[in-house]
Amino acid sequence: MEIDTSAFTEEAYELLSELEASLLELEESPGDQDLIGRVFRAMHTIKGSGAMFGFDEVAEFTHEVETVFDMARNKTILVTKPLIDLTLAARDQIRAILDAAAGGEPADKENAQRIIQGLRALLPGAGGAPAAGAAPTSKKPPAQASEDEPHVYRIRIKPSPDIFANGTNPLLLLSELRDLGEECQVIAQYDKLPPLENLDPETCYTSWEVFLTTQKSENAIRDVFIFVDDQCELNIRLLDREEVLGTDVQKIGNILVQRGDIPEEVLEQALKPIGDRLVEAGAVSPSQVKAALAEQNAIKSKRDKKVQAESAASVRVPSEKLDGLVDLVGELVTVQARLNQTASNRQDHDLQLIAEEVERLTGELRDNTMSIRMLAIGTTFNKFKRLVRDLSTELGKKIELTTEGAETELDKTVIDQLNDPLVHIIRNSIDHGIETPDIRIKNGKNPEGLIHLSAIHSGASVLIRVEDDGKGLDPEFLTRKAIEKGQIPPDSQLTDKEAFQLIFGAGFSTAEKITNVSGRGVGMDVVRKSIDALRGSIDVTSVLGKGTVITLKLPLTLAIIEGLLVQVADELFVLPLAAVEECVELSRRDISNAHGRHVINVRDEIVPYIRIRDRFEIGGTPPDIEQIVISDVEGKRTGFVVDSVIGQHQTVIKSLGSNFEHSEEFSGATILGDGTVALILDLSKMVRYVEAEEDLSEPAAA
Amino acid sequence: MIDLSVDDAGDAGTLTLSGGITIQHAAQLKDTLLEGISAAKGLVIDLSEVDRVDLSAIQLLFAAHRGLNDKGKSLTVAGTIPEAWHNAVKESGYSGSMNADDTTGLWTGEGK
Repeated sequence: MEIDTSAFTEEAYELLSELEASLLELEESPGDQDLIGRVFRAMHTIKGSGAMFGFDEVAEFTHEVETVFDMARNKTILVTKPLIDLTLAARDQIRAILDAAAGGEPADKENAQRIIQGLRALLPGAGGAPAAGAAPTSKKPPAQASEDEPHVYRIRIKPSPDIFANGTNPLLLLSELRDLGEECQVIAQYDKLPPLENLDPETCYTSWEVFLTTQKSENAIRDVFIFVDDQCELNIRLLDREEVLGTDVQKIGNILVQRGDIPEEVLEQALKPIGDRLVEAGAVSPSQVKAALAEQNAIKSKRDKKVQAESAASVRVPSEKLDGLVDLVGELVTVQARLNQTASNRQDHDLQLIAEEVERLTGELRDNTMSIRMLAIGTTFNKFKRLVRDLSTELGKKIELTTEGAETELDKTVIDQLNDPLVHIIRNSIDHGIETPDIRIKNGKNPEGLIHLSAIHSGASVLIRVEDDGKGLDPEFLTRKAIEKGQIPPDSQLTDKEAFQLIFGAGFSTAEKITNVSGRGVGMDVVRKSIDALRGSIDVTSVLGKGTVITLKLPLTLAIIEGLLVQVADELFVLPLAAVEECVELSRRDISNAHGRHVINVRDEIVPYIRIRDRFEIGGTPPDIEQIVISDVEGKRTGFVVDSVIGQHQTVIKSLGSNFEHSEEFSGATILGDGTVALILDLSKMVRYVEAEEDLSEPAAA
Repeated sequence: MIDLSVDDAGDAGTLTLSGGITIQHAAQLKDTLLEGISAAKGLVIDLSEVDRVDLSAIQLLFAAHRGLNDKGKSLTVAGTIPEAWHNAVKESGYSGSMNADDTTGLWTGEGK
């Protein structure tokens, strides 16, 4: 029987991203037991459900990682950068295994081995030297507690020094003890053993700590020592399960004490909570520490509650179902527009009332459906923390990523497609923007660079801003480079804004040398293409030496946009309203004033325009007074000449069939209330086509 | 039985132990060990004929080994280490007690 594994993979992917986020947080506060617990639990769940759904490779691999993290949880090993690095690598490996199972590239098994070996090397006692008496009890107590379940006792035996003189052989006692249980671990304490010169050969200097796993009672243990009762100090303690797990491998402090490397008091001092140590140092008062602890606990419990609430209140739905719902709502909006139009044409009052009611409901339904598809952008932001961390380490830079507005919601499709362009932009900031620490210090900046990622709502759009405090863009340098590469005419005079847009040109690169990260001249043009595809726009501002801000303006959703409906002869077109700045009239006189060039003077500013009628060879005679819709296209004001502007239109976007895939000037189509079809114009593509054609016909033109 | 021989150059003293090394021989063992350590630059120890070991011997040899390490002198093992020794190390909880300083295999508590 085929088992549906999609639920597992989906859950695993989510757990993996939670794992990543927790690890990155943990790197900042390595002592946080809650975080270590979260990492452990995420891995444990992946392992458990992996095994359940037959992902044995995942389960086995995760088990290895989990084992190591279990020790970190028990404070046997410390959370160090190598541990975080390896666990992050392990997380990627689990992801690769899952991808492979879903039909992707097979996962690199050698890589898995490398990770496991790296992790094992972090364990105490690794690297050849066996830790003192720390041979791990391989057997864990079973999870279910029962009456007959073996207990673990810790037995401290301190024989009196003259025990040999009475003819007692302590080794026999130990071996008797060993026979009591299934598992017995004897650790000699020999720190009292003096140098040979001072050693009395007939004195016992050794004492022991014994961990005995047995079903027998404490009395049975005491019975072993019954004949040496007066010659032995005996201390027996039943360990509870937590402690037993903790003794799996000895805590490093205990090992040190046993080896005689440090006295027990030093260990206690070192293990004291930070609060106590501060109090002792006289830095704070005990009550201050108490208050701070209370605050910490309050925050922790609040955060835990929030996490619980979030996970409890959500329902998992495949995104295809949602896409289907959105399609249907789109159809409904179209039909509702027709209903409205029919009702008003018929002058039927009752029908109009119904149409209005339907309109109201449709609107609410539409908004609700859209909001279901909305996701907080925070998950995407979290991914970048990892990116920044890895890249900055690779390049030897210190960079902090701060984020703001992680709760800002965007359509799922937009978020999905936003990932790659943002990666490119952030990579660019890290590689080209932020300087190396020594240069930053020389320029009087904080050696640690800053990248600030923010998202805010602005009307029907979301602004996503990537801000860095790096060296900024030099417009003159950019212009010179572009002229060198022949991408713009040699005598070009560009405004700063236009110069900044050059970085999005295909094959444009200012990097002196190609690094692993960027500089190959691909990347930023990909960014523009992706943002175009999302019907968004990019704005760049930069101050030389201070930093760069790249702002992406994106529509909230791809399914429905606010459009401006215009008419040319009998044809209807929709322009994305987000790009529209103003509408002005174009009279015959304006045309003749321009002496055949397609420009118009708007409040002393020369604005070039494109005649849609000519562009699409529509024919017919234009009216005496035409309308120019002035839009912001990649930072340049450009006019689009139409016969008349009809008005704002809620545009449900329908993609064009494959027959039209070469008609790049249209980004889609929509169906109007009366059933006619209007094409949606892709303004930036139109401008680029027209520019390319003009360059061909008159290469010298500026 | 305890037998110490130091070569003429005084480079190495060889301590050969056999039979049972227990509390009865402890005083003698201590003296011989001290003698060997002071007479030679390094001590070679042969336990291959030993069949009984108790805690007193473990303590003495451990102290000797630790002392030699501290003085920068060497302790080497001649012949095979008998199971009796390994068992005693294991039972007494001295396994791994010498950590990385143990190049002799005396303190592993496990036979080859």
